[in-house]
Parts: sequence; C-alpha cells; structure tokens
Amino acid sequence: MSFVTLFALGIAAFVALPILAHRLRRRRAEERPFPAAALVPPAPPRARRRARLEDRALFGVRALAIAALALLGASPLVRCTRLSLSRSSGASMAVAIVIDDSMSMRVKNGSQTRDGFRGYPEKSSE
Amino acid sequence: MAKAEKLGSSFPWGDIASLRIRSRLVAEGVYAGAHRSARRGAGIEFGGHREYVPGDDLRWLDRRALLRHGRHLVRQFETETDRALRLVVDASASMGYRGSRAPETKLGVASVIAAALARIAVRSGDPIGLAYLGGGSSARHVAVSGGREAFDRVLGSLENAKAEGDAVRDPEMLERSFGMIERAARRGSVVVVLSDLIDLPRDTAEHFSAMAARGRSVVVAQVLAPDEIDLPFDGTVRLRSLEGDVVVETDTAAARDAYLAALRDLAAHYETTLMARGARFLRISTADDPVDSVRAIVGAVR
Repeated sequence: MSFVTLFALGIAAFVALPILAHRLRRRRAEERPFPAAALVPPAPPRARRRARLEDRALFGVRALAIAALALLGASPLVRCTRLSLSRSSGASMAVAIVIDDSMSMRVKNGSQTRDGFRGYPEKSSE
Repeated sequence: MAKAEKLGSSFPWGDIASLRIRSRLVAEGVYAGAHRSARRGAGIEFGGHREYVPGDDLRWLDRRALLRHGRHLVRQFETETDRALRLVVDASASMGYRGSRAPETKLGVASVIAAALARIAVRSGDPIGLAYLGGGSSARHVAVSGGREAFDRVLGSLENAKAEGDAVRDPEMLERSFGMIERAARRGSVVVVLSDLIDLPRDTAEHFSAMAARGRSVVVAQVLAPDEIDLPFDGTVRLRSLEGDVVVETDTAAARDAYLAALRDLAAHYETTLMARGARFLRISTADDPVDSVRAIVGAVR
C-alpha cells in the first residue's frame, strides 16, 4: 500500500474543525427568554455526561469523515492485484464493452442479425 | 402591545352577560346594589332581632315580640348595598411573556379577564377599581368608582399598560400596590389578583392572605403561558428570566420533572396560605378560553 499524493494526507489536519465546532456548540446552547427560569434547576452532572457522550459520537463521525476524505485525496489506497489481467506489473486495467445497438445492426442476414443474437425480438414501433 | 386595541370589541361579552359576581359574604358599601351588607339598620329585608340597648331608635322596637316574649327586642334589617371590585393586575416584565402556544401575552390575557370582570361588576351596579403590580409609568391606577365611566377608565388604563418593572430588584413594588388596597378596601370588597406569581417575594402569599381579613373576598389567579406549565423545550437550552437576570443552562429532559415539582410547590404554598384566610387560589392558562377563566374567577368569589 502506498499513496500517490502524500501531501493530501494533510487534509487530515482539518479534523481540528470538528473539535472546534464541538466546543463552540457546547458554549452556544440555545438561549430563550423564560420567566420561570429561576425555578428550572441547572442540568445535573449525569445529564451533562450523557450529553458529552452523544457529542463524542457525533464528533467521531465527523472526524472519520474528514480522515476518509484525506485518504481519498492520497489515493490509490490499495492495488487491485486480483483484477490484474496477466500483466507483469500487476496493475489493474479497465475494460469497456461497447455494443452498437443502432437500427443498422438489426438487418437480418438469413436467420441471424448483425449483432449475432438469434431470434432477437423486433420492436413493434420500428 | 397587540392586546388592547380591540379589547372592548373582540371579547365575547354575550357569553358572560348572564354572569354576575354573586356575593355570599355580608358586604358593606355605599352604593345601592344587589349584595347583602353587614350594616344593619333601616332597609327592606328583615334581618332578625337583637336585645334593645339604651340609645336604640325606638321606631324599631318590636312591640309584638315584647307582648309575646316579654323582652325588649329591636328589629334589624339588611341594607341592600353593592361591594367594590378591586382588580390587581401584575404588569411586571415577566407578564410580557407569550410563549409558542398562546395567542396573547400573559398581560394581554390578564387584561381581557380584568376588563370582563369590570364589565360584569358595572352591570351589577358595583364600583370598580384597578391597581397594578409593576408596569412602570404606563400603569395608571384607577380609583374605585362606579358607572359606565369607571368601566371606560379601567378599559383605557388596561389598554395602555405595558409589561415593565422588576419585582426582584424592586421589592417595594408590591408594598406600594397592596398597602393602598389594605388601607382603603372596605369590608366586603372583592379583590381579584391576576399575576403569574413568578419572581414575587416569597412572603407575597402572606400579603395576599392579609387582604382577605376584615371580610374582604380575595381571589388570586395565577396566569401562566402553556410553555411555563409544561416546559416543552428540547435538548440543552439557556433560559433567561425576564426579571432578576437569572440565566440557567440546563438539559430540559433532565430538568423538566424538577421544574414541574417546583411550580407545584409554588402553587401549593400560595393555595395553603390563601385558604388559611378564606381566600381562593386558581391557575389560568393563557391558552384557555377567557370566558372559562372569567367563569372560574366569578365562581371562586365567595
């Protein structure tokens, strides 16, 4: 395994952004006027701990997303040796199969059309 | 404030026209009306006998009772009098709260209810007065008087009232309003207080119950917005009070039960203190039909 663009791994440094967003979000809880605020108890520690765990899960998803983006930028990640078609270097290759599906391919030569499919059903509109 | 421009026309007066403040207490007043008076003397309805004491008017000496029982008894009569309705509307800053599910601010709903009660009283021939808790310079107290003009004055004052003032920073606010009523309200007066009771000093309940002394009938209606009744917010919020600059950051799911318990304790404190003196306590939601709220208050008047 090797990376083509190693410097793209630097994108991983942006994982600091979710950390920042996480901290800013904690500071900016939604503020609203409420006359009976004096009767509302501050959140007990247990609730705060639960809130932190939820936030950590969210932070983990965000950090993983950025790490995945960094790895994608530094591609290829893994050589596809199993798909190599008897090449010495073992590099993979792309194969595209193109079939002409135009009207001219429908001309019959005996019982066989040009595209080689025996008994190919003809469309009623043509 | 959006409440007041249509106060006189939008309220369904017809729905409460049949209601009257039914008095059960013996009342004393200066105007002729439909309520009983504690003052006994010349009048229409016979009110019983009592022993003659020197100085009594001999016109009321019951000769038939003298022949029948051999005692000097004086006939007494109940004087038909009215009794004043004193409205006390909380216009402190917290009453400007509306919330997400109420059609009107708490002060707006309290004003509509107060105006309806004033109208009922005026129709009954009773004098009315209006006092405020807070409200700043916009809150103009209305001295007790009777007639259509009195109703118009009360209506005009309610229309101009704004939610201002901080009961936490200005605890004398309560004393200024209630001191006057305690001194001036006659025996048999009806005092209706419309307040959220939030941010008021803890001993406010004692002030209210003290007014119920001397034969006065006191009804305290706690006016709350639906959001205050069930705390419907989600997640972590910062709640800022409108009086006292209290800021609380809390997880509403965890704090809801404790908040509702504190609200119940507050209501129980007022209810217990008020009932000890014969006063009544009830809670009104700003999402309720104001007609039902007025009926509840009228029904609570002794």
